[in-house]
Amino acid sequence: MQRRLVSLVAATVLVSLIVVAGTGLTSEAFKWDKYAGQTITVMLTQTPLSDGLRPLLSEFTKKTGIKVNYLVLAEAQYWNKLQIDLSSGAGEYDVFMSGPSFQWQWSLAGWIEPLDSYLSDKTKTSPDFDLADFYPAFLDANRWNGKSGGGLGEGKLWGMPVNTETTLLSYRKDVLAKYGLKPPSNWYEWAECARAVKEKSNGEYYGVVQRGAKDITSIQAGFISSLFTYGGKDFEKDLEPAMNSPKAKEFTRIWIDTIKAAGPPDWPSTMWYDEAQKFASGKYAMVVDGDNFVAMYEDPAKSKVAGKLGYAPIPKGPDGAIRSNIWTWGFAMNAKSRHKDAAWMFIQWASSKDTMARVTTAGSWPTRRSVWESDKLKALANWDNGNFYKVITSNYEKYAAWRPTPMTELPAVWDRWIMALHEIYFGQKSVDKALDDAAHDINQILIKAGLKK
Amino acid sequence: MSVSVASSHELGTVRAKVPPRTRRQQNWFPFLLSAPALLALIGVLYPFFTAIYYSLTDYRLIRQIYNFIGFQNYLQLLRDSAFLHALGNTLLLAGVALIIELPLGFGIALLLSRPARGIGILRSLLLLPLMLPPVITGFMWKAMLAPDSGLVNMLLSPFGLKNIAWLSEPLLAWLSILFIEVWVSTPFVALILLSGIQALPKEPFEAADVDGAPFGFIFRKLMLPMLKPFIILVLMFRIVDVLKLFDVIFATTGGGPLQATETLSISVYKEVFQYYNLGYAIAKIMVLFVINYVASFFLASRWRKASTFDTGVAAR
Repeated sequence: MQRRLVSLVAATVLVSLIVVAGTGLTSEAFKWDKYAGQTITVMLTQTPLSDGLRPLLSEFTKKTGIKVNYLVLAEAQYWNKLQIDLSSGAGEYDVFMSGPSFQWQWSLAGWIEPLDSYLSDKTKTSPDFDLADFYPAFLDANRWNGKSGGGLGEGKLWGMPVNTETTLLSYRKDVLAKYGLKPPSNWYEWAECARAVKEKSNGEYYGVVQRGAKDITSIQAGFISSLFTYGGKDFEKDLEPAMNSPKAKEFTRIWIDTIKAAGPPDWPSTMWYDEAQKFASGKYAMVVDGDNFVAMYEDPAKSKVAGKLGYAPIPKGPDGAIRSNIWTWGFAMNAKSRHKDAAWMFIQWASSKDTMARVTTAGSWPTRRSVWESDKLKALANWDNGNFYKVITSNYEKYAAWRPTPMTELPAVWDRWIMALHEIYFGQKSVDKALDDAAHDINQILIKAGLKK
Repeated sequence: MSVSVASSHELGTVRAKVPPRTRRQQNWFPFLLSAPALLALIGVLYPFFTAIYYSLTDYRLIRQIYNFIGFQNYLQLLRDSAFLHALGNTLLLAGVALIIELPLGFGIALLLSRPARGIGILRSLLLLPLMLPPVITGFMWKAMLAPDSGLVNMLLSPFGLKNIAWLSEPLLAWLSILFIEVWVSTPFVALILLSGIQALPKEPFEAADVDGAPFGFIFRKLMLPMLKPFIILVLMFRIVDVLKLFDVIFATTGGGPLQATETLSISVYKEVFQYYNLGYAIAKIMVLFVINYVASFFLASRWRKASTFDTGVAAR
C-alpha cells in the first residue's frame, strides 16, 4: 500500500514535471509574431541579395505581422544617401544593407545598434538561428572593438552577414591551352603567363584585366587580396603605413608592370564593372577578382567565355600562403530606430538558414556553412568540373578573411593609394617614390583624423 | 506745434472712418502676398548661412562634434596643391568649353534659322543631348570611347588609329571630357541663340539687304549687337553650369587618370564622401560659389544694360 502510494506520488510528480516542462517548453517556444502590427522601413541597394529578398518580404510579413516598407537604390547613391540619413539622426530607416568597412564609421559615430544583446536573448532570437553555422571569417569581419588599427573579430557584432565575396583567379582554359601555358600558381608565373598570352597571340588576347579607375573600388578585392597574398600589407599593427614596405613595393612593381605590358589599354579608367564586362567579352586570359562575377562570366546570354573558364586560388606569394580578402553584404540596425525589436526580427529572418538558402543565387554566395554545403549550392557552383566550388570552399575554410586594417579613414587611404598606382603606371614616379610619398600622405591623413599622433 | 496737433487729429479721424477689419486686412495683405517669397528666401538663406558657418568649422561627417576654427579651412585651401589643381582645371575647362561652345552654338543657330525643308526635325534633334540625364551621357560616351569595343575607335580604325584609350591618358582624357561637355551643351547655346535670332525684327536686315551690305557687316553691326542680351544670358547659364561639371566626369574617369580630369565638384565630392571633411568641403564649395557669383553678377549687370538698350532701340 505504502509502496503503491509512493509510486503513485512518484508518478504524479513525474507527470506533473513533464507537464510543467512541457508548458515550460511551449512558453519558451519562439514566437515570430511578437511584434505584429509594427512597421519597419528597410533600405536596400541593388544587388542579387536584395533582388532575391524582395519577393520574400510578403512571407516575412505573414510570419511576423510586421509590415515592411523598403527603398532600393543603386550602390553609389545608396551609400551617400545612407550616410547623410544616418548623420541627420532621423532614424527613418530601421534596417539597411551594410558591410564591414562602413560599420566601422557608423559604430564609432553611434549610428548603429550592436546586435549581441538581441542574439543572446532567447525571447528575441529563435532557437534554430544557429550562429555557429556561419563561417567564422564572415562574422569576425562584422565584429569590431572600435580600435582603429585592429580589433576585428573582437567587441560587438555590428551587422549580420548574409552574402559574401571572396577572391580567386579565373582564367581562360582554352586560351592558355592554345598557347601551351599552365594556369599560374604564383605571382611570377602570373606575370610570365600574362605576357606570354599577349605575345603568342599577337595581341589577339590580353594577358590580364584588373580594375584601375581612379576610384577607391580599384583597391578592393583583386589588388588588396593579391597584395596580402604576396606578403604585403596596408598597415603595420601600430598604424604605420606599409604600402611602401619592401614586399609591397615588390608586388606593386609586378602588378603594374604586368598590367602595362599585357593588361587593358584603358586600365586607368577601368571600373570593376568594366573589368567584368571586358573579361566576359572574351579578349582577356586572366582576372583576379571577386567570385561574385563568375555567375555572369558563366552565363552564355551575357558572356562569350561561358564554359571556357578554369578556376584556381589566388596565385601564391613567396611564403606560399593565400590571403583572400572578403566582402560581406548583411544587415545593420539603426541606433535611432523606434522599432528595434521588429528590426531584429527582420535581420534574423533575412539571415536565417531558410531565407539564406532561398535568396542565395549564383554569384550571391552564402555566409552559412549549411547553405554552402547544400546540394543546391554544389550544383549551382559546379563550374569547371567542380573546381570553382573547391576553390571557394578552401577560401571559406582557410584563406579568406577581412584583410585591410580596420579604420574609419579607409576610403581616404584608398583614394590616395590608387593615385600612387596611377603615378607608377604613367611613369610619373618610380615605384619607390610613388609609394613612399603615398605612405607619407596617408600617415598625415591618419594624424589629421586623430587616429595617431 | 499746433500744426502737428491738428494733423494728428486729422489722422485720427481718418483712421476712425476705416472699419477696423478692413484696416487689418490692408495691413496684412501685402505681407500675406509676399509670404511665399519670404519663405523661399528663408529656405535659401538659412542653409546658405549654415553652410558658411560649417565652412568655418572642422565638421567631419562621421563625428558630429565640431569646433569653430575661423578661417583655417580657407587658409589651408591656399596651400592645398590638389585643390589648386582642381580649381585651375575647372577654370581652364570652363574657359575652353565656352570658347568652343559659343561660336559653335552660334553657327548652328544661324544655320537652323534659315527656312529649309526638314529644319523642324533638325531643330528637335538638337534637343536630344539635353534630354539625356548627364550620368547616362557619361556612361554612353564611356562605352563609345572604349578602346577595344568603342564606336569611336571603330570609326577611326580606317585611318590607322587603333586602340586609342581616350579616357585613360591624362591629356586625351581631359580633351574627351571637354568634347563630351561641348557635345552636351552646345545644343543649349544654339537653342537660346536660335530663339534670339528668330525674335529679331526683320526691318533692319531687309534694309541692310536692300543697301547691299555684305554679310560680315550685317553680322557684326546688326546681328551681334541685337543678340547681345541673348549671348550674355547663355553665357551666364553656361558658366554656372560648366563650373559645376560633375556627372559626366564621375561616370567616365572619376577625375582620373592621375588628377587630369578632377574638377572642383569631383574634389568636393571626394572630400565629403571619402574624407568626410564636411567643413573643408564646404569651404571648397564657397570658393566655387564666389567665382560663380562674381561671374554671374558681372554678366547680369551687362545683361540688364544690353536688354534695356535693345528695347530702347526697338521702341524707336
